[in-house]
Amino acid sequence: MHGLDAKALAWVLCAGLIAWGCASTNAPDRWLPEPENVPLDAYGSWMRVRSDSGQVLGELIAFAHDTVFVADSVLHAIPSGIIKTARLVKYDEAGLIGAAVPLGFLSTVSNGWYLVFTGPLWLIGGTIAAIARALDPIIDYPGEPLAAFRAYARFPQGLPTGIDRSSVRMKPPGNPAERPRRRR
Amino acid sequence: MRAFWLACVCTLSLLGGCTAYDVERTMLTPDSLRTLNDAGIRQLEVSSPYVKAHLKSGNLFRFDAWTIHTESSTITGHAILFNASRDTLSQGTYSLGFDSIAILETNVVRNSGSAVAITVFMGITAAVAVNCIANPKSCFGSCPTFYADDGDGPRLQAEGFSSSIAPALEAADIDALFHAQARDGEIAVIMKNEAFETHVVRHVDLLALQHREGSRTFVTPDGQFWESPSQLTPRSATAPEGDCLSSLAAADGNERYSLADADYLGAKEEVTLNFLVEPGKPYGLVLGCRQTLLPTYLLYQTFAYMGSDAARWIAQLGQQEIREPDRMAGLIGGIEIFVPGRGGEPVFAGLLNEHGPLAVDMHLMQLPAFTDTAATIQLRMTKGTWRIDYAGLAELSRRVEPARVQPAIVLKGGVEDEHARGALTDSARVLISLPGDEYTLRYRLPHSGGPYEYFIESRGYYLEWIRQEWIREENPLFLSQMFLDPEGALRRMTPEFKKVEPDMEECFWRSRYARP
Repeated sequence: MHGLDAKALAWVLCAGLIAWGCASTNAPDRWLPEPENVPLDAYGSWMRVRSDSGQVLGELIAFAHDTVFVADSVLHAIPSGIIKTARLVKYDEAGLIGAAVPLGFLSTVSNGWYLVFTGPLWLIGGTIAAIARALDPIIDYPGEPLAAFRAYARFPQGLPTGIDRSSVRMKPPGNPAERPRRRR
Repeated sequence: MRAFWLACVCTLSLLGGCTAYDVERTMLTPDSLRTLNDAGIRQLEVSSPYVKAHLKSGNLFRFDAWTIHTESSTITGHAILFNASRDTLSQGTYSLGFDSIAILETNVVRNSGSAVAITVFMGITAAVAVNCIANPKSCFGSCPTFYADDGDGPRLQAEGFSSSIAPALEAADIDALFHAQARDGEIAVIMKNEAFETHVVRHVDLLALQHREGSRTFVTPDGQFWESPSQLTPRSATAPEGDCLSSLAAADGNERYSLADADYLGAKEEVTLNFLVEPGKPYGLVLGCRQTLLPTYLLYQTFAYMGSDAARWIAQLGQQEIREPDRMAGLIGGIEIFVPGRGGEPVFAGLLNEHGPLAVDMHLMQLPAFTDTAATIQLRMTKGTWRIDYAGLAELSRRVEPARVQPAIVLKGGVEDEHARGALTDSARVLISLPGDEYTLRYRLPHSGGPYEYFIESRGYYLEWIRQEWIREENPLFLSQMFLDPEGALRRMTPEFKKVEPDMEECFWRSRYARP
């Protein structure tokens, strides 16, 4: 491979790594559902909250106007006012687009002279698409208001009154529910 | 090569098979459920096969088959009931009143915009690659290409030693840099290898000819340079399709060409040019032309019939016992020039037959003196074989000799390459270039003022890389026919060529080798 090819490929890989770094989730392995299984998942989405009192990682249980409830092995009630940053992850995007870009870029060697168009198409467009894809499942605070997280809580209606808070645990790691056979 | 392209297309197909979904979640309150009309409900049923009904207690019904009844304000269907800890409590058919639901959650799964973009990129890349697979004989080939500044930037102006397809056929080739412009006493020529070929270059010298202001200089096939103070454009130009004067009047890239005959690739056609001349004056016909891809196709088809034995055949080309398929080449031929004889009948005046489908080259053919003011010149050529950009009559004033200039500096990748310069200036050495290689050759012009006309003289030969898809067509019988019965071979190959002819030119240029 020529020097220029190597540079271009390195650029793609760097961009991919940056995208991967920007979109890190810290979720346990196999905790996040695949996008097509989100409609089946009865739990809340993965959440990382950094506040004055530290960092909490777990399932978003509920959101009230002044409190965010996140569960790991226990339920944390985090006042909204002390939250510095928060990240919600809706699903596991699996990184397929990120993996496709270097392959697509390499395949342009089959394009002869037209490579001068298809190469940059993959290099620039593909990198942008990979970064955008990595960020698809993510909602970040303060970029978005905390209220935008509510729909992804286990209890979007708010923490049910009378619930035994000490019994609330985050979803156990593992494969989310199998897609049931639809009835029609 | 075919396997390589197929691998690329398969990779792209796999990429195309990779889907990436995004999820759009919507929360509906009981009040908003009541406002849904039939169309809204149907749309929801289609887009969100599953819905989750969150109860105020924290329990959850996940419906996998459901219907909303606005008249009774209920949602009915098959569901699983989870408690607040999301343990499964039961499953069955349920009917929930809107008032018992805190939030109805819908999730629409759709293709991610990024996946759509990648699919589009994949489609574009695959389309280009598939075109190369489908039409391998139209993929870019044919000798080194030379680019020089025409005032607006680098422009393809010449191709070197197109006929030299084997070591024994090494030859020098003179091409006009008709549109080249010097800058700061220098001419920079970019030499590229844009094909799957190995180029063996002995030298690339600039030939500079000082001439009078307003004059141009042209070269004959035997290497004579003639200064021309004026050039006449035809009063009329006609071809089988009709008037073609607008295509031939200026060297502007607007070329006159035709398609090959539908029954026989060797069929001929004529273009007739009419000039108003001064009897007795020395004139020469100037043609700016290049070949179409028909000769390239026939060359590649010959290699294909040679198949796995092609290397041995090519190695023996030019030797006494094995010669080029001269009869085949003769049937396709060059441009035959006819001028009026004493009795007005057309008389053969010469043949222009420089090979190469890439760059338009300017050729001069000296003509006998005309005896009448109306001069009719006929060009006879094989249909679909030549693209003519310019046809004019040059008044010839004197023979001139060029100053030969060797490259003063050779750059590769923007860095001075002394080894390459040494190879190009030492006749005992050669410069070998591979696909994607690009050299900038800088020539310092003589200090005797101007203006100058520039030509490039390149000497060397090139070796085609035999493509796998060619070898699959190995056929000694058809190969023999090309040598022994070239007319029959041309007739037999006509239908195949006509199938690919419409897209050949576009595909050919698109398949130039380029670095990522």
